[in-house]
Amino acid sequence: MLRPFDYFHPNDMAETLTLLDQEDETSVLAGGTDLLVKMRRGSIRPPVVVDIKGLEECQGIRWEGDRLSLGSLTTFNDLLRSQEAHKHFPLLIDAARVMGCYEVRERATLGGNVVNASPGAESGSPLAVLEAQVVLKGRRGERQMSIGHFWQGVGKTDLAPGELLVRIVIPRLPEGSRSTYLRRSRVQGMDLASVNVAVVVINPRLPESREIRVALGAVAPTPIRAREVETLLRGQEITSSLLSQMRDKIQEGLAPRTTSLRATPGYKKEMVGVLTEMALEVLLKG
Amino acid sequence: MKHTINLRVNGEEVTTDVKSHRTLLEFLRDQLHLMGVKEGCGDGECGACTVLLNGEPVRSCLILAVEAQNSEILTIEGLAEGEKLHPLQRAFIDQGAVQCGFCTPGLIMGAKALLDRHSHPTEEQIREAIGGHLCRCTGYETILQAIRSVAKMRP
Amino acid sequence: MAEKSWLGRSIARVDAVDKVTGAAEYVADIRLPNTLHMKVVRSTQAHAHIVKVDTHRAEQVHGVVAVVTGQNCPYLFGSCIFDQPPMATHKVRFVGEPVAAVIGRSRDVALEAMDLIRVKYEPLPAVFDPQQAIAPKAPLLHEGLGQYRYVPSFHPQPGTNIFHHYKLRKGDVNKGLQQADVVVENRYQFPHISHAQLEPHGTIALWERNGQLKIWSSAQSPFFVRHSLAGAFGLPHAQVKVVVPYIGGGFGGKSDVTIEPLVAYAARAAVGYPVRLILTREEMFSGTVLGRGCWARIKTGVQKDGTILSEEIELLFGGGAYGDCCINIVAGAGHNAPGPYEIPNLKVDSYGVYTNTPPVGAYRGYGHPEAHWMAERQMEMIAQKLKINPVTLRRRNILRPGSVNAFGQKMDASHGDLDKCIQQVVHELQKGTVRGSSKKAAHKVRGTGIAAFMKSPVMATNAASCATVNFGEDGTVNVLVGCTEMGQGSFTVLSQIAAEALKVPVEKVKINRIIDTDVNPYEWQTVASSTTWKVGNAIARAVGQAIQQIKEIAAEAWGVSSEEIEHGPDRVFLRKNPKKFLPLSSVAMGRVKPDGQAIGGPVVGYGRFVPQGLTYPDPETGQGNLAAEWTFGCQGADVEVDLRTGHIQVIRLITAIDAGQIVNPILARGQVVGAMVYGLGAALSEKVIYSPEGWIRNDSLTDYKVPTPGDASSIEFKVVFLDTPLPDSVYGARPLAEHGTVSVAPAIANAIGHATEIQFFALPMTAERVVEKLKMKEDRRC
Repeated sequence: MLRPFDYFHPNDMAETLTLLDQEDETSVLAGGTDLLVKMRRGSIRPPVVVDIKGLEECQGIRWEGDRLSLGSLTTFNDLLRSQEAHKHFPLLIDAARVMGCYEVRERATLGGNVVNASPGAESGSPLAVLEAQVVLKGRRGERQMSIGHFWQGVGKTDLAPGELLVRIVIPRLPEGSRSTYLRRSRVQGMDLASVNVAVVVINPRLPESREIRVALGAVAPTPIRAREVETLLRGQEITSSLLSQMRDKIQEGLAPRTTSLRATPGYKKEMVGVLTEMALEVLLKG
Repeated sequence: MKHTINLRVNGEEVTTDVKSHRTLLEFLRDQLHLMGVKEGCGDGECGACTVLLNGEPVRSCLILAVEAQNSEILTIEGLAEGEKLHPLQRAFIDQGAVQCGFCTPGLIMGAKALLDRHSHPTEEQIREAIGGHLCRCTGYETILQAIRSVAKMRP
Repeated sequence: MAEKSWLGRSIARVDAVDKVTGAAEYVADIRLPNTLHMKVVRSTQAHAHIVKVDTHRAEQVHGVVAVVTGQNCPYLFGSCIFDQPPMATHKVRFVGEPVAAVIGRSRDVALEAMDLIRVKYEPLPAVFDPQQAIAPKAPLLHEGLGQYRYVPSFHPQPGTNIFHHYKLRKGDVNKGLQQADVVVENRYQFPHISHAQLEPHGTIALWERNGQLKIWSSAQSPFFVRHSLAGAFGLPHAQVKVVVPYIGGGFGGKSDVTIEPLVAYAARAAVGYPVRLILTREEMFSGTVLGRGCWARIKTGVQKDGTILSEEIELLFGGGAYGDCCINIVAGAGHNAPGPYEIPNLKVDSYGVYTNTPPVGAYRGYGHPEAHWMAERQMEMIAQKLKINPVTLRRRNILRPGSVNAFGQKMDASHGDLDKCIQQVVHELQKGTVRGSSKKAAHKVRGTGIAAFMKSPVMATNAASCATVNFGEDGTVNVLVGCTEMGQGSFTVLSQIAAEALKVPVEKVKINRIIDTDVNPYEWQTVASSTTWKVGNAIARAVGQAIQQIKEIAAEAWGVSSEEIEHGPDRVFLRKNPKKFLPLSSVAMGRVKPDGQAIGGPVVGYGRFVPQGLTYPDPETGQGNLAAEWTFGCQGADVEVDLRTGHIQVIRLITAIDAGQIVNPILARGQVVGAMVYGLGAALSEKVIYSPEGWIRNDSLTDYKVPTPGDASSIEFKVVFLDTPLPDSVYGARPLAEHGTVSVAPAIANAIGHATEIQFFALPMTAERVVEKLKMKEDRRC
């Protein structure tokens, strides 16, 4: 049962931004799979809900030069159906496959997932490792920023009052790049991630010029890049000794909260190393 | 706040008023008296509220009734034709996939949508389709058997 | 003319069409005119005095009919100890306890008003762990424990938090321990878990202006609800009507009384109107009952050859704020704690301890999963210590014909063949067809384990089942019973039993689908996996009575004695001339002579079954004729553990159960497989997680993880039914519905131990605890 609110379904961006600007406490409704859960519990009680599903600017997946631009209203099923995503960013497909369940994926949007800013979000570590940018629009105009800066804490983003996330833009990876997303969860069915990693390998076959990017989810207030690990692995031959070093290094500085319902800090720290190693096993084969 | 919505539910035109905060689940049950759509959790976790919206399976507890404006909704009540059961309904009975029955309508709708998408689904596709449906009674074995049996029967 | 038997046939469920078409009615689907809606304000404190409940703003909301608190509420409810008010009176004892209820014309109104109620508390020290709650200076939850009514076989201890202490004494446990070659002592734990039925609890209560109380509820035990409400409110039983439609899953969590007293109490403020409460999923955790919550210590003395000489067991149940059914589970777990073994010297102390958490009630398995978690892990630890094969160890000690069990019952062959069940499981595990990956990965290890079980129905000594049978003019049969259908298939199986007894096609039998205490015959409760057996017996007796009446009518029609008449397929006939017969349809409503005179009239058969000879346990020794019957079995698990991630993959789960006559094979297998998956949850992922202040942190299906299709679809299930008939059951059918949950967890734990040498003593067994234990082993080596 939800508490009463006023609902608007604006037809265009201008109307939307006006609504978001005017009303004091508005919530944006896209897929509803996060918003309605919070509203039912009473943890948020917005007097106004603005349904943005009519906005064309937030829809569609298209290349803009060297960057793939995904509308914030792209659902997870849309992502799974996107040939471009399969071809260029398979880790997004890996993540989308385990996000929620079919019915949830039919509604849940990438934009909603990003703005919800859960550190363990399925799209979190993938978009971080892909160095995605977010495009935000407000009455004062449009701005772009790196997704790493956009996420500021658990449930917190740089979204200003009256602003809307309209697109997520991902730079194309060099030809031959490989990527994957792995996670641990409590059950083998629909579940949130207890901890996850997203790994991209650029130039997998040429160790000297190989670049490995690693992003971690659910071990910090936002998804984070494991920069020191990336430095450790850059241009190196991947031996079991190096992997062992990697597993130690990746834990340095990590202090996951002790209050997680999904996994203990010790397990999370252990698993980011294990999952990264597993990812590399797959990505560096052949 | 009230809105007038027009939609088709189980093949019938419906025009009526709904409050902004009414979920599609509440609307279907309380206003249209389609009691086959069940509320198990209200969080989209259990699948008991699953209906088809424009042919796709969705969690009606996480959709506002107003969002269903101009859409086509199919609930469990819309599956059988008179006494003639849909093959999935028949299979659930024959394979023993029904126990307490509370998860059954949502599961059958999810499975129907699967068979509409893929006329010969793979095992992986079947598991993907029902992956977000919880059942506390059957242990899922007979549910999977039921869906497989319908897929197998198809030409 | 021989007719095929209805036993052992997988006929379609009689309620299946209703359920697959969405036509099956559950309590939330019932629509009564002028229904009012209830919302409940619940305690945010684990233990506190209620200083003030400010309802005046709520009362002002347009559409609010009444706001009710528990102040001055004189009523106390319970199942065996009557300690629970429908709403908190002067203090709250757990987070979630009802403090106020709003009744409004719509759910919107009730919700709006609920938000406006303010409660002021004066916190009291709280205690969450029974090990602390049982300590001498622990904060007391029930100062008035000495004044509560309770069923005489229980022993609450006023001045403490102990609401029951079950004692079992057999032989001389200390002497036995001294004589033992080896003593193994361990502690075990089984956390609180939630039933997580898909259908939330719901109750509609209507106080009619004529003084009748009508209740519609998702309740396994309509007659218990009637008795409870009538007793507490001081109403004649005949003035209380309880109606139960289909139940969307019970598992014990809807037995006895749950939310009915709350709704009935609040509804008194709105006489003439049905008042409806359907619990939210959050309320399903804190607003009804939980299960398990057992801390155990077991000390076993064994001889070198594995013979168990002596065992000392202490069980502490964190029973929550009210005794509910935990009080009875304390006894059930107590007398099953040794497991299915013959142990000459035993000392069991099982305590039900009040804790500031939601009450613990009946939960599938009813003390047996708790007991077997401990007993079957202990057997494995003993086998390890003695370096004896765990199968050999068990078979050396199991109860066999001639054994005497923990509380003095002598076993015989009719109780079932546990040894054969064990052998079946071992045989299945050895077959070892590997599903999935046959690649050997260095970081994945494989292991198998078994765990035996026994279960008896833990119920009142006079738990009665009744049935009536009457006929239509066309010979179709109406069977009325008092048991409920919550998915277990009772109506279908009982139809088959009725058809078998009547010797008619099952299509001619109709079992009522809705239980109405005004109309249906008495049923103690639909619990304990006992419906097929007990109600089946009652139906067979009702049929016997009906057939006797039919014979008498036929006898009068033919001018013979009824002794000369036999019952055949859908007919009665003259024994010495079978060609002279009458179809049942032409007799069951009476007959008419050629000249018009009436012979007899509509036949109504009544049958009743109450297991005989059950006694209360002796208060000092716990001995007595406590178990009406036994079902034995064994479970096995084949698991693969990933040493890197800790992931536990169950590959095969096997249950061999001596279930006697199987009435409906598909339904029976469905019950056992369903039970195994249910037990899988407790083994691998389910646990109620409390905050330090006593809140349930994971009160949602997002974070209370029950088995999903993904978990179950990667497991191969094998069920083997043995068929020792239960002598006391009309066709030999034994209870089997809960049993599949009993030893899943220890079987998996034993398999994990075999694969990895990691030993689990507490549940659930998760990947992260595997990794944690592997690290500890590593650390110990450094």
